[in-house]
Amino acid sequence: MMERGRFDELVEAIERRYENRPQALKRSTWFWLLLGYGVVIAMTVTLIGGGLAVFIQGTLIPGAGVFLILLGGVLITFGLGQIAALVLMDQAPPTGRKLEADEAPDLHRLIELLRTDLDVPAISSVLLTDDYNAAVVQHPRLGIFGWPKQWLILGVPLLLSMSTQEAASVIAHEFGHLSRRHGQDGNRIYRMHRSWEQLFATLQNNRRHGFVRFTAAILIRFLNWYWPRFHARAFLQSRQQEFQADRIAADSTNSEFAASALWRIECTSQLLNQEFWKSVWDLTESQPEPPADLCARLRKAFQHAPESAGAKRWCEISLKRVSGNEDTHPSMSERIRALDIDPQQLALNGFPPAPLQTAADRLLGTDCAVMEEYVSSHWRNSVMVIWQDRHRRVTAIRRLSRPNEAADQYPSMTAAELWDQTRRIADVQGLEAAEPELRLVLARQPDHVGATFALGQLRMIQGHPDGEDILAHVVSLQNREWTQPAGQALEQHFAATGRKDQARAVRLQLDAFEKARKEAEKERSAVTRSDHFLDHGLSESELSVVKAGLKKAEHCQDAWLARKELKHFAHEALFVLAVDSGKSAGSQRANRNDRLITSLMLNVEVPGRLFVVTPTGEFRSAAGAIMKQPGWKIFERPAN
Amino acid sequence: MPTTYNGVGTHYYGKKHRQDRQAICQLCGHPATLTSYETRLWFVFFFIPVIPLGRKRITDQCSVCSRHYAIPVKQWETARQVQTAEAMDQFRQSPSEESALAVHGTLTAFQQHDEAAEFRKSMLERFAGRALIRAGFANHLENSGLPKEALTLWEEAHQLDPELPEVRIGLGRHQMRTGHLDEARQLLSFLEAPGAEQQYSLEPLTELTGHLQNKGRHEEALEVMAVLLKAFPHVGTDHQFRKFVRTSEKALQKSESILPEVQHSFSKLFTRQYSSSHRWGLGLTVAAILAVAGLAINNEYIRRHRPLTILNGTGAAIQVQIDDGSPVSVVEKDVISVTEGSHVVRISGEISEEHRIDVTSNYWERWTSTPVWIINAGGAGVIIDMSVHYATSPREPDVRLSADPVFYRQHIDYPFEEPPNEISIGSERSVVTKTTLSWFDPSSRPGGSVSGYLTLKKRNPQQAWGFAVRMLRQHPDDGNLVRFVENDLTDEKRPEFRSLLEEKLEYRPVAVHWHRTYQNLPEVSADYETLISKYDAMLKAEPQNAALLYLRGRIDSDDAEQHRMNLKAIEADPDFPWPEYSLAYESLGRAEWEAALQHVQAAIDKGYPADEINMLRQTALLGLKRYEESESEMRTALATDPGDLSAALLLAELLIDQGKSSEADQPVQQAINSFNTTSGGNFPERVKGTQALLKYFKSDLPGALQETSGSPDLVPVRVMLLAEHGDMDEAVTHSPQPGDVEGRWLPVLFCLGYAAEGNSDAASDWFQKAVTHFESLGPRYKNLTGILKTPASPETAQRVHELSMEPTEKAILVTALAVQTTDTALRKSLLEARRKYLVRHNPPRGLLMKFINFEAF
Repeated sequence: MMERGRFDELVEAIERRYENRPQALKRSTWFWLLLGYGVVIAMTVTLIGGGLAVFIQGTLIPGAGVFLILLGGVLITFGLGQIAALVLMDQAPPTGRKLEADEAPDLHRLIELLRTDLDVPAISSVLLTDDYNAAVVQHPRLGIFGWPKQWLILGVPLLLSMSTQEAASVIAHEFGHLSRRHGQDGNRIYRMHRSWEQLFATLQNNRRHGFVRFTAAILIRFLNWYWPRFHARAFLQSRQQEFQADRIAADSTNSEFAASALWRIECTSQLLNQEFWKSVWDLTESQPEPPADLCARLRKAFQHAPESAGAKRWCEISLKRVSGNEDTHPSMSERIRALDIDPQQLALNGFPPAPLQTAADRLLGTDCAVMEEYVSSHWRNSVMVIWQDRHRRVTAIRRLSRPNEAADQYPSMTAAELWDQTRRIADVQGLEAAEPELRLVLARQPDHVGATFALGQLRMIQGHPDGEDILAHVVSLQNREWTQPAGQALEQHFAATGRKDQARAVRLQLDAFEKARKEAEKERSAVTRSDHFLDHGLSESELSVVKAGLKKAEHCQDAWLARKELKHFAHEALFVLAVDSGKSAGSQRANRNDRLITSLMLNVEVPGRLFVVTPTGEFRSAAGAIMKQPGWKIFERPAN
Repeated sequence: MPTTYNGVGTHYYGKKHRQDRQAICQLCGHPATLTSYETRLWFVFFFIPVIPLGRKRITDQCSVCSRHYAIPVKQWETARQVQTAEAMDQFRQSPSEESALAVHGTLTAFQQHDEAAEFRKSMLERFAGRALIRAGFANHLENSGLPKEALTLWEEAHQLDPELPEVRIGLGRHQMRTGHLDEARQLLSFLEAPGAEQQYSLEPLTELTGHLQNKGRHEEALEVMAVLLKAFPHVGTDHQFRKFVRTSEKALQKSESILPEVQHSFSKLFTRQYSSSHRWGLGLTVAAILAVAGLAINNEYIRRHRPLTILNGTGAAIQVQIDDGSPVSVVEKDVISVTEGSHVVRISGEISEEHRIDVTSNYWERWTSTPVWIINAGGAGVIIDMSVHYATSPREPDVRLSADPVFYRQHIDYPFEEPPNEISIGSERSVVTKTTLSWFDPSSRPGGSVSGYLTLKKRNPQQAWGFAVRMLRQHPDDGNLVRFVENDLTDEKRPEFRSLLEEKLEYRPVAVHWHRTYQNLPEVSADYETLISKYDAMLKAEPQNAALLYLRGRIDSDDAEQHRMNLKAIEADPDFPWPEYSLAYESLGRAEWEAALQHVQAAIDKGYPADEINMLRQTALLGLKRYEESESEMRTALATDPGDLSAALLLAELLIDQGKSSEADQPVQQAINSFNTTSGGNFPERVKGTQALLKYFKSDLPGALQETSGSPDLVPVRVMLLAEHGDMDEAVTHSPQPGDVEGRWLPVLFCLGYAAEGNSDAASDWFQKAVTHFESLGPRYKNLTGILKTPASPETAQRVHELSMEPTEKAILVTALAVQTTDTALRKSLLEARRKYLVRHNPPRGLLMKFINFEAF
């Protein structure tokens, strides 16, 4: 598949090509959608057409026709089954508390007004959820032929945070998608995706057949070419649709409300993610069960604009964040600017103040309490077991940790053991809680890559600019375990702070690393006679550790040590240890040599990866090549 | 797993690095010895390794069920090294419980159980108070089939941290397997809490329901199922889950179900609401419906497109019209598609006829049979319906011939196509019979109608007669066929044949053979006046028609008039050959060999087929003793057609005549061989007749008699031979009815036969019968009967000389007259006259030659 960096470049190229030409982009997306459908349908139609041809031929031939009719019948049925499988896809309906017709009459009235205004088809149900979000979901009853059924999903926390006008703007935005039939396009794209998945599942299930393997190989080649190109267009189209829906919402309500809603959602999301949920989950330290008053806590959190130091930073992040190619929604700033409003003006007002009357109170009216109760209860039930588990783990960590005073807290622990402890704490209580242990790890082992990564992340969360440098350093180390997560964290950080070019540079760096990583793994997965071996280059102390390990393996008579010359990640050495239990072992030699391999892998420690070969094993040719070098012999068990 | 059938298939050979351990087989669940080793997979032929298919690492081959895991050795070794190295690397960098578990998991996965045990021991010491690592190790041991070792660790872990989910799940599973379901449910109770599905897999609960149900604890099983249903409402539509719930509800006789109502919908076909069996069922139903519909269409198509084969053996294009459809031109053979039912087939063109044919068949037989409906236009084609037998020693095919204009067979395996030379018949004793249909088109080669007639006659004389009648109606000028039919004519068919001949007397140009055959019918020639008047009438209409002049002269009782009419015919049409033929015949009868030769040549020059007149020429050459010329001609004829039996016999005859009997056999035998090869041995009677004559020429009368025995076609010859042999009673008994031409001399020959025996009474009696017979033939023979009825006189020989007759017939006549006379001198002169006529060696030469002896007596 196409690497992420190349995909980003493709998206940008297409974006440039269709800049200010939304209709052209739509046509292009449709073309690619139809191309994909065309291939899937062509294959199915070929199957049915072939079956039909055989079937008809069979009806016209006396005698042998019976066989052809049966064969044709089977092929047609198989083809119809494939079409049915493509068309009849199971889509689970969205879940949530269904708003009955006699509940929240004001909300129903608002929905009806907006629906009529925007010429939107009837909504099947309004569902209330505990998400901080709103959405419309469409499921076509007739598969690719459409006839959609639609739901409006409103998160009660969202309604608790915004004004009625802002909520109306959000609903109008969602209806904007429906009025422009964005949902159906999205469904078709979704279906396209599922069609290919279905096809591959069939091919996968029948891969033992040579013909299927051949077909799959061709399809994969096609998909590798097709999918990124189609997906890039569909992705950009989705973004276009967001702008269109925003414009519809602004026209239906007004631009200020639409912009205000966007700004509030962006800022409040930061508040929820960075502060609110953390404070709730911190209760796991003290409470064995989740609180029952989530909505009350949300109301309280939304009531006043936060005054913490973080609030200013969240506003900045909200303002600067650029959209990445993993999110179909454009950034808030872009969307507000598209409404002809300067986001800086909104930012000047700081974190949006709480509305005098929330949309929940206004629109849900007397039913608001019932809905809040439902949401709180639903959230509580859904997180109950997770909460209890977290509570148990926090308690366990507390039991293991000594209270207070960092430096002499873990005197006997090695850096590795301490790192293990750090991860446990961070896993349950967050990185900030684990900071003392983290600094202890780095004090004992300054080049500990994992701890360096964790420190970089921590510094970045805390808003220190050196966090970027630390993570960039981890990326440059090309570490098998930590380079990828460090790069991803850095990329997200750059995107959140509006530094699109830097984010892309990191992505390209990660793609290159991943490619080299695969090559390196391949290079390290085997040794052959034709490999070029070098002197092991170990220091005396390192060699003595190796010899100690060899000595422990009682059947090891002789051992030679070399290093494979590597092209990729040469700093991660691959040591090749050739061992033999000796010819005196007779018929037991091969068995003993085989047992030696695992034993030595467990007991011999080298500064890099170890590969053990024997003169009787699968890699005997490499063993022979190494054992020919008398200078590489490092061990010979003395005769008793 | 490798498999062999009758010693052929795949098989493991060799065991290297073998490791045995006692554990529970993960595939069959039985305690067993699990063996791991390296081996090589072979393709074996009768258990002999033939092709190596790669080295394999066999893992945990169970001593009970034999099942195991197999992986290419190189792949296994690489994975072992890479994964162990990676796990160890991780462990050394971060020696946590998780990384230790990863190392242990890798070791157990690669069957390194001793090393795993050692590593486990050290890690348990290192992480002495940790429950998680014990749970992890226990889990690995369970998966390695070591539940006892696992239990100890589970219990230790549980003691250390009773709330650790991994421990509760692992121990719970262990309790389930050991039948302690209450303890298991207690341990897994945390999974029944609301929202547990968001944190944990509820798979252990699903397992628990299975165990509870198996133990008959349906109430509890339903409780757990209700938990699952609440956690995952969509499983309420899962067919497997529903079946599972229903089993318990049925066992408890619950009237209300915990399952939600589901609506059957085609749109949910590919959801878990329906099983693959449902989908297969629907698919098969659709396929079955399609198949049934297709078969019905196929049957209807067959019904509407029945092949009606039109055979046209007439040699010219015919128009065939089915019912009111457009006429179709058929040249040789064509197939017209018709709907089943009754059809009227109209044929026009060369022939004109109409047939009604029922094209019908049973509904099922449309698939199982290949029926054949044939319209054989004019009955001209010979349909060969054959049953071919396939067996280790197959018998000859059964051949049925037909020239019926309408032909039907319910089933023919190979209609108008060659059957295969061999087919599979199953066992050695089996006989498989297939039917095949072909046809012979008489128009496809010269003489085809005769071949068709003769072929049919062998199998079915009645069919042959019908065929001949139809062919002659269409082709009155087919002289050969007329002659063959005339030869085979029976009394029964005679009236019909006469009518047929009379039908086409007006056919023009005049078919001379046709008329000659007609004139030769005794009942026709007997009515002399009518016959003469008939030809006179025709001549009146066409006075210059040479053929009619010739034919009119031919039947005249006055030989002089005959001669005159021949000359008149030549004058009317100098290119008409028949009068020359007649004159050659006349000359030959008078032993005027040179004149005969000239007329023969003139006839040939005028277009008379040389091979048909050749016998006259050769008789003349024999009369002139021009052996070399005759021999040269015969040898040339044989070089052209090595199977020409007539030429071979003539050659033999003239060789014998020259006293070269020993050379006579070879050309005849060679010709017979060649004839058999080209005719496929289909005409044995002709061969026997040839061999009989050769023997007769060589004076081997018993041999000749033997050859003619049992051959209906050779009866006339045989009768003559019997008479010569002295078997008079038998000869008389088997004698065919004397005809106008054929056999007309038999009474005379019987007279001679009895005379040769010395039975003068019988001889006289047969002489009188001969007179009566010739008298019965009418005025055409009045000169002959006049000679026979008048006592012999010195003029008799001259009168005989003037008769228009074959030389051999004259020899018979004068011999008979000689036998009848008491005048010795007269007898002598008659017998001398006989010598002049008797130049051929054919029967009854021997009988006639007996009277030389008699004379000597």
